Amino acid sequence: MTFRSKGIAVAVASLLAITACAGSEGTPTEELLGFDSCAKTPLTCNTGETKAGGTMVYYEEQDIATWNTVGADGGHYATSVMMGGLIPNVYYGAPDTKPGLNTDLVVEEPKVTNTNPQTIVYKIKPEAVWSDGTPITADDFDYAFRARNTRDCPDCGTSSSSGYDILASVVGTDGGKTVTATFQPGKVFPDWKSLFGELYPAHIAKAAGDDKTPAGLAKSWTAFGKTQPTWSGGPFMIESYAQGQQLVEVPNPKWWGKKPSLEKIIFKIVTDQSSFVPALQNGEINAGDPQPNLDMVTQVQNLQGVNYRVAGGLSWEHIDLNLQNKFLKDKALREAIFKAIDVQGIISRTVGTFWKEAKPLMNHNFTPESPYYKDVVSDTGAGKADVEGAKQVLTAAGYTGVGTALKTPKGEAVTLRFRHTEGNVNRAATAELVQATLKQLGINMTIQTTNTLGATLDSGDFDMIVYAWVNTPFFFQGAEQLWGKDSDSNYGHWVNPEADAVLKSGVQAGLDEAKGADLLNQANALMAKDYYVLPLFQRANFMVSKSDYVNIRPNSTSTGPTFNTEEWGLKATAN
Amino acid sequence: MFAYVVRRLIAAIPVLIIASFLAYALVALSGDPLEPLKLRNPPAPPRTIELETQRLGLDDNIFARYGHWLWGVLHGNFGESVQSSYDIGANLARSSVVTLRLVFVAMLLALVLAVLTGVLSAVRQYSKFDYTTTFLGFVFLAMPSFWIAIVLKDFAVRYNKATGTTVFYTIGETSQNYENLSAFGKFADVAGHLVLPTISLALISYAAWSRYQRAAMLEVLNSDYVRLARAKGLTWRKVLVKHVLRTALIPLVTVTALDIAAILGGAVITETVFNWNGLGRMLLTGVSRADTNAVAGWLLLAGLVVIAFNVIADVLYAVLDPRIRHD
Repeated sequence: MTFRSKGIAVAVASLLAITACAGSEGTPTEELLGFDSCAKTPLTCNTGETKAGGTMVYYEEQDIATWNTVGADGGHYATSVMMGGLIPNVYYGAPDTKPGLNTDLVVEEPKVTNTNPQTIVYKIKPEAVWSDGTPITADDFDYAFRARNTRDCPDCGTSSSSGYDILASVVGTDGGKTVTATFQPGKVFPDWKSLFGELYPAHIAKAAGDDKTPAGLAKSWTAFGKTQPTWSGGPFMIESYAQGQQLVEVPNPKWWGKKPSLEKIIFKIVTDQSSFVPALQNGEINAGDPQPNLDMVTQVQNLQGVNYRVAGGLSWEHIDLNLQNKFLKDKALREAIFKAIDVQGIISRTVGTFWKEAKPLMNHNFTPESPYYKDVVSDTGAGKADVEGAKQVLTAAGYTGVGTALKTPKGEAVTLRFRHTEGNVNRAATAELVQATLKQLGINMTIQTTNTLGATLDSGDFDMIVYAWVNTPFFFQGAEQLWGKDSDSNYGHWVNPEADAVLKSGVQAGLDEAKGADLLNQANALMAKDYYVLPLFQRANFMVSKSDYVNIRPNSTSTGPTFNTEEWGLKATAN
Repeated sequence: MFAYVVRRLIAAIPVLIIASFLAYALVALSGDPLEPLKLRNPPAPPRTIELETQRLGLDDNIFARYGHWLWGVLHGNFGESVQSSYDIGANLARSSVVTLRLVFVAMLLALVLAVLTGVLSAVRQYSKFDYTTTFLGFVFLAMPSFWIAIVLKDFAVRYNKATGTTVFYTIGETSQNYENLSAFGKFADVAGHLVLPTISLALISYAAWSRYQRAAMLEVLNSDYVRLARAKGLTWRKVLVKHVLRTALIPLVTVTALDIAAILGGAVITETVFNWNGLGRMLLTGVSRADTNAVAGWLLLAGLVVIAFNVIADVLYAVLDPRIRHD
């Protein structure tokens, strides 16, 4: 939900002081306005004084999918964005792609008081209450734990049980305002900041179903998904909802934090991307973060009175090889393929058409916005369009017909099948470019689309495939899930005992984040040398807002830009 | 006539069942609705995927799934949607009202324009008016409906900007503050939202229908009985309205009834471009989510509408042409 006022005040004050001392042109406040500085100061860009009143009409491409954002059919970005001002959380995804602490909910940074069993202590603010006046307490934390751990409530479908499934207990003290979460002995969960990111009111759950029984828990959990919330634990609450049209939110009168400036936030559901710019021009919407394309970005660039930013998001495209394929089992062939592929050329034909700063991604766990981002790909030569180097690798490995009709050392013609999602223009272009590249090596590569990507990956029905993963600020669980030897998501069946051991030790060491991240990078470097997954590029994140609104900022995490809706407002100096 | 209509409706039932099964099977086999869940990072627990599979009946074969769905429909339940909070039946009802309002107004506009220009073009064949409407008709026939919609939106934005007003709206059926408007304000707001999509949808049908009307008028105008009527001393106006137009409307009625499916298709595009939350949005959302029950419900409704309009056309034949009677 929220990037807190206290933190922002300190940061803004520092920046104001720096800019004032520098004696630059214009007032310091003016220099902070707009999205130009978001690359360097993502937490404080577009900061400004607000005046009371006004309505923000925010563009959303999808409707509310479910009212339970972490239910079985939860995990939808648009829903999370629209519900961001209602659902309290301990940490949220901040614009700098790190976990941001919600200092409105907790008194201080939660503490890891013990490492075995791992124990976390949260202190909830005494004044924190739900919109009906019921205090937010350990009961709400406990409800999240029991509904999502898959043991207490097997029929509570949840979009993720990560962390909750190895928690042993959640206990409240100090009248429920201190929460102690204890993990099972020997279990380490370095991404503990991802826990309690979506708190639902336990007292309302109790009214919906007996929270002491699995059936009662399941009933209340399902009810949260189907029932439009009349409650809120954030700065805004729902005033009205018209399915497929709009969600209207107004300030929560019981909100204990900074009073929102805006009288109303309207999330307008607009499913047609081409409507975005005309609606913005016509004053029918004021801001949004649509999926960008060349036309849209070009049109927005030509508008007056609009802030916009195109930047790398947390979603990244990559080409995976199926190591169970009889040809791709050979590392030399994999190396040649990856060396020959022109990643920059692929970028130029796809995301680079509207995002000029797009660059090849050089890490499988971190994007360049992360302090732990490290180039682990360059040393392998992958993605450099080095066709001659690739030919040399193949020749040295005993392949014949290099550049004409490639044959293995045993004389078998090399043929491969590349798959991509049907209707995805960028992936189709990627496939065509790879096909043309491999032809130069003498490889006959056919392209086949799929409209069931999950099933295709699950069944291993591919030789090469392009798709995307989405990173989160909580990177340990993702790394283990994607690259672990025994993971269901290791679709290409890559096995490297050394890398696996380093990966596991990285996760184990994750309570020391920097140390754990360093080990993840070491494991990543070993994986890159195995030529298994070639990262291509970050997908672009696009944020647009009318310039008379301040304190609204791009946020590429799954939290989205609504992490600080109480700070959004009309610029005080605006006419 | 009543017996004929009943027979037609009964005959339509097996057609509807076969068509709905084919549609159901095609949608069910075209994608996995749980794919977003399966590809989550971090992954969803296996139990969640199992629960969703059970909820949506994905563990049954296609015949059993269709059977359950059809049985539910007969009892007023259109089944579970991929999105648990989405009530398919309620949305079909609500979306139908939105779309039918658009389609009805657009059809009415297109029919009135088509009949007027078709009649005038035929009566003044090879005049400047005839050449102009012929040219425009072919232009609109050649233009894709989404292109016309985008051009209209661009015009609207420019007009509003130039006049400093908001007469035309480019998204939605009503404004955010609709509920707070006066009665006149509500009327103006609905009209401001309705005008562009209506014109966009009407122009496509108008183009074809005006050509049909012109051709039918010319054929009747050159027939012997019209010459006879004139020779007997009837006024030109009486001949035109009572004898020519009435006869020349029969082909247009046929075309209009047959075109209803195409108009609904056009409405899908128009609604998408103007962001109306009608049947078009419902279909596209359903297809993109591989929401079989929602799409099948939609197709069943569309099938019913097409059949109903065909029956209406048959009835209108009899009304317009006394020689046609259905026993």
